[in-house]
Amino acid sequence: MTTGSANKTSARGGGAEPRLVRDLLKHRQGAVGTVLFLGLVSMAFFAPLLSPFDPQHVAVEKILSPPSTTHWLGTDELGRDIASRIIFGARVTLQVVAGAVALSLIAGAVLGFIAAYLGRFWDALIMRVIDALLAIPPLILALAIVAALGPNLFYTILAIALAKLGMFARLVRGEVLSLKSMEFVEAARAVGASGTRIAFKHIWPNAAGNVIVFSAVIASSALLIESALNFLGLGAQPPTPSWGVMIATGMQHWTLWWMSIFPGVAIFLAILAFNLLGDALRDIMDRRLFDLGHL
Amino acid sequence: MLLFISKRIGQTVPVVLLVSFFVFFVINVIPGDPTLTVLGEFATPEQREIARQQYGFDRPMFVQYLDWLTRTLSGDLGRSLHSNERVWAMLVDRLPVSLELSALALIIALVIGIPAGILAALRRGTTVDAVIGMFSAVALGVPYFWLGVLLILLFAIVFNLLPPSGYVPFTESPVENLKLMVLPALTIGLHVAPLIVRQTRASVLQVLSQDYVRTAHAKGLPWSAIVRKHILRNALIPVLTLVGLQLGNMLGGAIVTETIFSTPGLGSLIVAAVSTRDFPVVQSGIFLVVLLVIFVNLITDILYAYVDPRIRQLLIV
Amino acid sequence: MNIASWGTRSARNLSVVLAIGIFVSVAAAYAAFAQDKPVRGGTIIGATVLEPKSLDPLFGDGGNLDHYVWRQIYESLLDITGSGEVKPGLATSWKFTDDKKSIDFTLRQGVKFHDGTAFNAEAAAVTFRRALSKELNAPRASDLSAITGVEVRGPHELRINLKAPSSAALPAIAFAGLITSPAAIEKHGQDYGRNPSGTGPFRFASWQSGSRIVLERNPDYWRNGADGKPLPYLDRVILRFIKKSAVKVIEVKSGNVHVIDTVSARDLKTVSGDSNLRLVRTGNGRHVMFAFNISKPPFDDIRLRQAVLFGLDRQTMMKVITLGRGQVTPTLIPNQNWVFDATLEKYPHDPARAKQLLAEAGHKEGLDARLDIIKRQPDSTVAQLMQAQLKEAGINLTIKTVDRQSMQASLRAKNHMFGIGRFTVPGIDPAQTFGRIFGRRARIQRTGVSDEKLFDMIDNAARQTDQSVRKGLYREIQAYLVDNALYGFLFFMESTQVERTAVKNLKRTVGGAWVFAEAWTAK
Repeated sequence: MTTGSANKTSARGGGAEPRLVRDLLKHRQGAVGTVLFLGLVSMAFFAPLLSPFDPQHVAVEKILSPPSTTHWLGTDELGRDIASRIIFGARVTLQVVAGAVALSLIAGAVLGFIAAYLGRFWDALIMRVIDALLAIPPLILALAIVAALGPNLFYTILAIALAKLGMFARLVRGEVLSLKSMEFVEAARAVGASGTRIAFKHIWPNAAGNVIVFSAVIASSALLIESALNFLGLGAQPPTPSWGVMIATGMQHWTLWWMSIFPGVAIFLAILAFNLLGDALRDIMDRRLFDLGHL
Repeated sequence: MLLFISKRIGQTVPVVLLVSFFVFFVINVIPGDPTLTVLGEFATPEQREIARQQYGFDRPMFVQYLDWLTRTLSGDLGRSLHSNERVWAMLVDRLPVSLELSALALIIALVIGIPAGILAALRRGTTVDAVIGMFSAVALGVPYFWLGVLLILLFAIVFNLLPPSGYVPFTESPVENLKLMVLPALTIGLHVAPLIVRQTRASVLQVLSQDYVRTAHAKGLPWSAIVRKHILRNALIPVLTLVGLQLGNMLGGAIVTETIFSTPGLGSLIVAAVSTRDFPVVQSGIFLVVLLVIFVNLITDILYAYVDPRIRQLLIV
Repeated sequence: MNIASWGTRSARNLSVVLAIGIFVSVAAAYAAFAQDKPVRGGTIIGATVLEPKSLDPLFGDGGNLDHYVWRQIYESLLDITGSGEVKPGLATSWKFTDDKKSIDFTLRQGVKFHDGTAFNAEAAAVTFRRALSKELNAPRASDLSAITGVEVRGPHELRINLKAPSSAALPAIAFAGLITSPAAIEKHGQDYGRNPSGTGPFRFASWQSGSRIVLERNPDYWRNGADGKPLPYLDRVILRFIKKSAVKVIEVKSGNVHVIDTVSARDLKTVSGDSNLRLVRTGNGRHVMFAFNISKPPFDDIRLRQAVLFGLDRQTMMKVITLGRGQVTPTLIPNQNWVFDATLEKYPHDPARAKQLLAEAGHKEGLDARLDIIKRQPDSTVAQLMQAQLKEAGINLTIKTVDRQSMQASLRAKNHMFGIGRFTVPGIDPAQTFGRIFGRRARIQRTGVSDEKLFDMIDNAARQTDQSVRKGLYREIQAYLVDNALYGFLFFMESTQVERTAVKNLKRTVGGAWVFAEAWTAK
């Protein structure tokens, strides 16, 4: 996974972030992905302003009405506005995705660092545990954990993070291992720099590029797992608006197409946003390496 | 080669043990009274106490784990708490369904993915490449359970062409069987296809840049021959690796897909067993799926090493 | 006909024809002719919601739902009609002994189990001995808990001894005493549940777990059909297991399936225009209700319980869920039952009253409560409606969705505040209904307390045999439940099944389960 390709990029130094954004917007897929992503985030952030109705307001007289000028995307089995529920649904989804990515990133980085830094027994132990975690299909792992602990937003985050932290751990471990043998780290250690200091000063800047790409990839699959768990009824609890739950409810009303189509489109666009971002970022990173003459 | 294989298997053993440990403990923290599963809701507290002792639920967790592991390794998977059926028989019943589903899904993914990938690579930078790239980006974004719902909506409800759910064994009626399997297989297959497209495109491009292809081209060999003789052979190895790695994904996807289409495979068995707290079935079911994934990865690695000796060296050293 | 079934569509069509007048006799005669002339052969595919966990009747957990399969394979000594009339089954006659504590059965001769062994008193006794066996510890043994023992008094003479004289013993034997082959049990041991053998019209052929059970004609069945030849008419019955109401409806519409069990009111609307389909009302239904946990705050305070009840608009709830195919009743007894009493109603929708009660109980600023529900429909919709309605009464509801097993565990541990459940009503007899749900031997005390006073009332009512005395006692029991605000009786949903018009003469049990013995299919 982590070959030596990204190691030597520390040469590029600071000022990377504005350039990254610029590159991203110049990249066709990256631009689309960025727009979708920003749309998703602002939908979640400004949900109360954007949504035409209270997403939890039950209106018995409006039950299951088709899309109209008042309810653009129709209403559900309790007469609630589907458009508003989709807008608020973005909040739940993004919370889970952000939480899962952050948690898997932190836990994975710490484990990977410990494994590589301590080496030997600890390395073997941690990496075998991670192999085991990665061997279990993510959805099955998440299903088992959520089934065990109960349907709850935090457990969903935990389950996805557990399924995904292995990728980060391997990445960070690879970076650390290749850096460990390099002279400047040896030198830093010789002058008494602590492990954490080395980690932040030398290893992080090297791994950052890949971490960003991985984050997008993991966000996309976290979103898929989250919505699948919700679809199976193992995630958000009623009446919390959730895209996966909305599709599952829509399945009980086949003839009423608007119930399952629109939430599905929302999930699709969100996954697409992360996929496009991930692809674009990878392209950009590769191109940079190429520019720097490393390939 | 033998050294490589034994080394690779040696690596797998601790992973399998860790997985078994993990699966057992996760499942056993599930709240809920297992005797409810055994006896149903109609039983009295006394009946429950008898069952608790009968099944050994009163013993410490670690003792139960060791007991489960030794019995599992000796081939005794116990009986379902829910139906009292032999877990072994249940898995044997379900496995062929899941394998058939995965195989069909894989065929669909490969039939779509490989030609599209090759085409995109050969026409790199053209509109064809862009369109294929766009389609795979879109297909990757479609959540497969939603795709399943859409397929039912379209084929079963709007056009009334295919049944929405159910299963008939292939041996009983191949036609009926395929009619019922095609929608779930499409659901999973279309989810995997874009990955195959991308991998094929990337590895064909890689091969195209190799000297021997350029030489062949310079020698005036027609493209069709080059594709057949050089590109396919060399480019498909990484694709097959990807297929191996995707198996876990496919079996995971099968969980939801089988639930949507009421396909009686391992996935729907696990989902049903989770909700009835049927520990032996959940444990053995998940364990079996993971073993399958590990096994296929092992085979993929060995095949890969067989084809590419550099990998072998890397691992042995 | 042991159930109230009618075909909406054909009945409506028929009345049109009647109005026209002239064709009536011809049409009716033709219909009668077609109806009377059963066709032999063919397969009927039924779709039902729950896959049985076992085909050993002592090891089921689906209540009525298990009978959709069991009733094709097994029979009991007695048969029971919708009106509660007991008829001969595998027993040709029976009578109570003088002390009313035993029943003597004379069994049918010449009946064979599917495995070829003969049915006799010794074989029948084994079923009841298994139910009584402490060692076997069978889950459904509690259905036969009125029985203390069996005696074989002759090759075809069987005596069943009871704990006490009981009006519920015969219905219990008819419902739960499905006779299994002792030889098959001996042969298959623990695997009998997958290798069943009874005396019923169909024998077991195959079982694809998670999907379907295939049954084939029992050529040695003892009953004869209208044509003087042995039943059943059908060659095969396939029972498929489909959880989603909407999917069942698609399948029956497209003809992949010929008959489906209860579907939601909204799905029924989608089939009402289809001339190939017939709606069948089974005469019973399900009552959706919830129980307060009165063993701890907040609902140990009756004022808060009443506040919740006054805060609910059950009429709207019923209309939303059942689209009018339901009733709002004071307790779980539907209005056509003989112990129904409309005057018991005490909690109309009155949010102001609810707020007042909250204030009296010291919750002027509002009450927070948690509602536990099982992950299924319509419970989730009901819960969200309750949440919306109670909000107006100042009660903030949090909904916790769990699966069925966790719900049972939570009720047992008294962790719930209140929780929604549902029951098939009316039962065969109120003694059974009240005993099973509220009585001493109920599997769970959903209110979190063992109410001895209520238990005694229920036990006493079950011992009585005089109908008018019983009626008074069941009124008292219902009044007790309402006055103490122990439960929220939300609404009753009629059960309506759908069958294709090609399906003829399909009978149903009291609980609505199919009996394919005399059914046939028009080609």
